[in-house]
Amino acid sequence: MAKQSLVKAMENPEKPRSKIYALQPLLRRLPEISVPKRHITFKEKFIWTGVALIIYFVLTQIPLYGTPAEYKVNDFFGQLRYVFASQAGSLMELGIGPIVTAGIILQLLVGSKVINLDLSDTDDRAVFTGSQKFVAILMAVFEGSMLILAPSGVAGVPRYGVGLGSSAGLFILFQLVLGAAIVIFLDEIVSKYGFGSGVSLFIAGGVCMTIFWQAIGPVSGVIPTFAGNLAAGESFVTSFFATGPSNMMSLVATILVFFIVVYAESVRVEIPVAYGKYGGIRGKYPIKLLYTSNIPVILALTVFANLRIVSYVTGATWLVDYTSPPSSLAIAMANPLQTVIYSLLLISLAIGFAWLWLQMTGMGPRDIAKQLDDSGMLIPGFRKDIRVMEQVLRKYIITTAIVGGAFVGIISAGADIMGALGSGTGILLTVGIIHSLYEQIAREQVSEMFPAVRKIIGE
Amino acid sequence: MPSSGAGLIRYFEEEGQGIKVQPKHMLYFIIGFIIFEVALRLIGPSIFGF
Repeated sequence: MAKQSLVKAMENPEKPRSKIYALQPLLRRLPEISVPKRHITFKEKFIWTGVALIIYFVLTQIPLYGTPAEYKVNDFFGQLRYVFASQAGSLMELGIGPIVTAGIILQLLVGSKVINLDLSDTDDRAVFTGSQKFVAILMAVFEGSMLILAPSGVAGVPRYGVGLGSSAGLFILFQLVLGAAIVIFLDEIVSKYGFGSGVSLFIAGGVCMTIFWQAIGPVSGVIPTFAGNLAAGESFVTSFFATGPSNMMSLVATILVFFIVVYAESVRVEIPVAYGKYGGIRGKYPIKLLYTSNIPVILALTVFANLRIVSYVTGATWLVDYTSPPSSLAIAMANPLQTVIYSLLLISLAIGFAWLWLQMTGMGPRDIAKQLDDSGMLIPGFRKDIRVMEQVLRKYIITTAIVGGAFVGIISAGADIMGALGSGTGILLTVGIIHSLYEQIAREQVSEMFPAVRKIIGE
Repeated sequence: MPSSGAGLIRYFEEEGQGIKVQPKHMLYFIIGFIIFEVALRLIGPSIFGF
């Protein structure tokens, strides 16, 4: 690889290499899951995805070793834990936080040309992927240390009951970092050998498990509690809106958010396209309302979670109030200013990240125009010129991405205010993820049944 | 570059330059780590004192 890079650099001397290449000796020592050398069958993908999810669930149930006996670790991330796929006090406390944070940092650095990498170049892309893993580990060390230093709520007692300077504190940090590294490798296994991605899978898995227990858990589940109250002679309305962390209204909100997101997933603008050859066969190019899916909300809430961590270091705890989703209608109404500021921040960030995601992931108008042009398509009524196509697509794609980003931001904030089970944002993310996974699994199944399709979709 | 195939965030699907590990070997390592964590609860206090 080094020889190939040297030859390439000699062939193309005018292109300066990014300074991030200085990390290359280190990146070559980081373990990574090998890319499959053969086609992975549908059944194998199914098994790898299931195994990764089961391991993730097992890890969420293992408490960190080193906290004093009978010590209860507080829930640091609150409602944001669903986005982080985090379980308080367990090996999965950091969840996917370090991966997503590292991704945002590197995307911003590359996008703003602070790090000069050409992501269409194979070598640059490999360095980018390795750097992302390296930064994720650094983020795990940072976030882990901050969680150990964070207050527990009891004066003078740190969050895990032990200080960072103690042997037990260092051992907890070691477990948190190793837990985060395991999430990275599980994500890599799912991305290369399974369906979708580990990051999305763990978010959806965590939320589904929470909804399941909050809905039908025998001790405090919404449905058993509602039935118990009715059996005890309480009126339907009182039982329905029973006080507590969640009630039947939460279940209704959950179902409502579910249907809104499923409907929104199907809203799309269809741009007519035609083949330049084959007698001008006509088709449609769909641009979904949720063009960047729920990804802007995941990125926005990751920023919030990191702000929460930083707020404890800097002492700016007021930040927590404005970056925490309200967990019920009653809490939102009691704190209207916080609710409005939180919602506006979330919606603005979601719009910003929707735009950024377009630029970074090859989903922008220029990239789509190029793809259509490469496959011999044109937009009827317009000149067959890539710049003209880009102009037409720009009008739809940029608008859709921004409206879609605002939409997921509004739904996320609105659903949290309604107090949906598993948090409104959790439901929004989970429905979007399951919908996307379903589409991918359906495509895989077709390509499994008709191997010729694999060639068409470039597998 | 993180791709967004099917609306899902994907971070590590590209081949990097690191040490290649087969997924099943990684799986054995993670299972070993889980066993280690469970064993710590039984023998940890007498070894580490916490």
